[in-house]
Amino acid sequence: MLQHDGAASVPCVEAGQRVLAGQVIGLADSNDDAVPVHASTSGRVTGIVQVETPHACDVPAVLIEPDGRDEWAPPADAPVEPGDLADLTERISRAGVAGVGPNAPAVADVLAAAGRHGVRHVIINAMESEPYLTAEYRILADHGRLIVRTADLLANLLGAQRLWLALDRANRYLLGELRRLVHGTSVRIAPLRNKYPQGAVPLLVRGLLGREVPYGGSPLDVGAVVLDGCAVLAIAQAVLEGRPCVDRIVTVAGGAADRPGNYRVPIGTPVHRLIEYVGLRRTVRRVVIGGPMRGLAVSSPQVVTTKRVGAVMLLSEDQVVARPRGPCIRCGWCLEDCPVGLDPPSVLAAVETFRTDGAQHEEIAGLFPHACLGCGICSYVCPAGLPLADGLARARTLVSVRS
Amino acid sequence: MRRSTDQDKRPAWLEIRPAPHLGGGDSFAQMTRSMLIVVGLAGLAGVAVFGLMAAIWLAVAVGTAVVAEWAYVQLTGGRVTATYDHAALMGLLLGLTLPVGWVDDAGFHPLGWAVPLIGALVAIVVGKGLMGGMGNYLWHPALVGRAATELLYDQQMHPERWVVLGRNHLFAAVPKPVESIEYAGWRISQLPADANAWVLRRPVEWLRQLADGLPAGDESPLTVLIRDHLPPWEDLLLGGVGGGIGETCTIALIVGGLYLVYRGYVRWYQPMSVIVAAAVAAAVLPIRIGPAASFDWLPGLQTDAGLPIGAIYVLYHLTGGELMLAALLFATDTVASPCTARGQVIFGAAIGVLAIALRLYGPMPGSCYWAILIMNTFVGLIDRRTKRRVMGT
Repeated sequence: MLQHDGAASVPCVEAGQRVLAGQVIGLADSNDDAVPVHASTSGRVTGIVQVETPHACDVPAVLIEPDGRDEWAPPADAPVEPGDLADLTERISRAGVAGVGPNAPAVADVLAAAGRHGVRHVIINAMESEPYLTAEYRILADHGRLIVRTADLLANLLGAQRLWLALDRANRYLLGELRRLVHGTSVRIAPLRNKYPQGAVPLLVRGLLGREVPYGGSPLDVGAVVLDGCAVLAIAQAVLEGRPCVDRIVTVAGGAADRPGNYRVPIGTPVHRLIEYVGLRRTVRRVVIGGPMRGLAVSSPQVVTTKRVGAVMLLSEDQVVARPRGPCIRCGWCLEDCPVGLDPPSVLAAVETFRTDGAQHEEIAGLFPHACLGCGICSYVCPAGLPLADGLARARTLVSVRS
Repeated sequence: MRRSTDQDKRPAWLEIRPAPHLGGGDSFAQMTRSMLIVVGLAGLAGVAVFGLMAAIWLAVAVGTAVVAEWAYVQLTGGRVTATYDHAALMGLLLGLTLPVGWVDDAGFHPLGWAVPLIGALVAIVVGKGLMGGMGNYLWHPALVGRAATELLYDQQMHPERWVVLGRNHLFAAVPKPVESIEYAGWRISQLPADANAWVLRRPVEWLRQLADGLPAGDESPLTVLIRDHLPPWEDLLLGGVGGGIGETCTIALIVGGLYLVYRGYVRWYQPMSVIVAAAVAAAVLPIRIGPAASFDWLPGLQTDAGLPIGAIYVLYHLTGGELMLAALLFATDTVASPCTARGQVIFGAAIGVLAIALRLYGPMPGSCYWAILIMNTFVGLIDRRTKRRVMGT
């Protein structure tokens, strides 16, 4: 029932009741990001229970015992093209489309803000956000036509002049297919070299538009809005197919996964069911919700997926090398590899000697921690095993963005 | 496919750690191990050229360094973490800069065992430990140790004449030197039967004299110098010239440097900036080659009867002394060099220019080491001035 920050949605069904796939089972509470929750499949409600999601615990949940028939409820909205942006965002919200990433704002809010602000560029981000992930590729390969059509529609509704589709240029075949599909539309294909973290929004904006997102700002400040491919797919299904958000393409991979791949996973599936489905070839040492570079390690495979979960990594023992921490040897690799030019060791030192006084707030703020993309490359390359990415994350919580 | 059944017996638990969950690149221990291999290669070349005695001095330096590290950790009550591999590396690097012995009219004198011992002790205790330990030292510890031995053991550290084993006597134990017969290069000349080593001057000592002025004859002094006094250049490449244990074998140093670049521990531009800047400085900085005591600029462009003698002069500068060792293995120390690419190039270029300037006009031999120590001092300044701009600011 909790697919976002803030208060959970309120269950509106009772135990013993039969529900159909796509039927509303939780009503949105008052907070901005809240979206209704729909049944992922048809079946009988066996109870209202408390579950753990990757980002919260003790979340109310409607437990549905599937009847295997997967019967769908009639769509609430007719699958017609929306006339204006308000209509679109309202229908997106009603279909339960939430934010797609761990900290992402709701898609409808992003679109509404873009509409208010006015944008010149719409960027569809079909770059994989992390190594191991291939869900965006899968979505484009399976739903290319739908994505292109929806992107065109979104750009029209937002009044944007340019519509970009950024994708990994290594996928030659897909690139050729899409070039054919976008013929006659306003979509411009931007094949990019997929060097992690090229899929991060500020890097994408800089790469395509040649402009930098100002510190503490958003792409809107340079007249652009960035939407992930999976978000566009969710919009497309909600608006053009009249199908609420009940599932998501999830990459299940990692050294321990026996049959890694992209799976269409109903929202609310417990992670252990995913593990059972893909099988294990080695002992799992970490279960990570999200990609291997930024994902969240969870303590229990009992957690259930939400609308924010786009990947589950099953990492084996030999993959998770825990390097003992040593002194910084000033090799400069983190500075060299930081995609935004931060100084991670200085931030870590400042955070670790932090005392609550104003001077150090100034010092940390002067290192611009909010420019950090959270890509984790600094920790990844550090030969001394310093928790640099962790230090940057803590610095971001210590200081606010100065305008 | 299961790797082992032992894993299955462990209790099933899941680790909770912050992202990233994968580790890439090499650890500090792996870096140090590779450095030890590379430095050991140069040391091996030194043992070949200067005899087994060189191996003894290297062993004394390494052993002292490791024991000193252990003792320092004990004395500080375990507040600092011991990095024995790094201490061994510092000892080995120090050993590479030491001469194997010296020659006077009475014959060959081995280096005193106290020289590598005191040097390594100072390197680890003063240069590393007291400066804050691993990661915090300002000056390269091995060079701090060397500076101490230079002050304490002036005669042993700065011999005028050096011995090099004859090419049929490599690895032989104690040099029995000869100097009176005609020497036409290490690789070409044959030693008399009762000797196994040559007595030579260090090539850079000849080059140093250029700044003091050479007597001018009919021919260009550069030509005279290179033709009549300096060894053939291939000897400089192979290492059969006077110098510190690890300084002379240019090929071993270049192979080692390329390996470090291949492993990604050293960025190519860091040693390259030292070498290129030194070449430019050698080509530009004036030497006295006229009849009077006048300084002539741009010696690197001189030609003599169509022979680019200036270029050869520059080449001798690069390979005739400690410059290659300093550029490839000392200036690339991660702690005592700037972090950013721009900073490293500035740092390297300054070392190259300083090294040649000090060699030509300075009072001390081993100018490249002093140049590095001087530039180590400015690492903090360079780092502050070469910060990258944060995106969006």
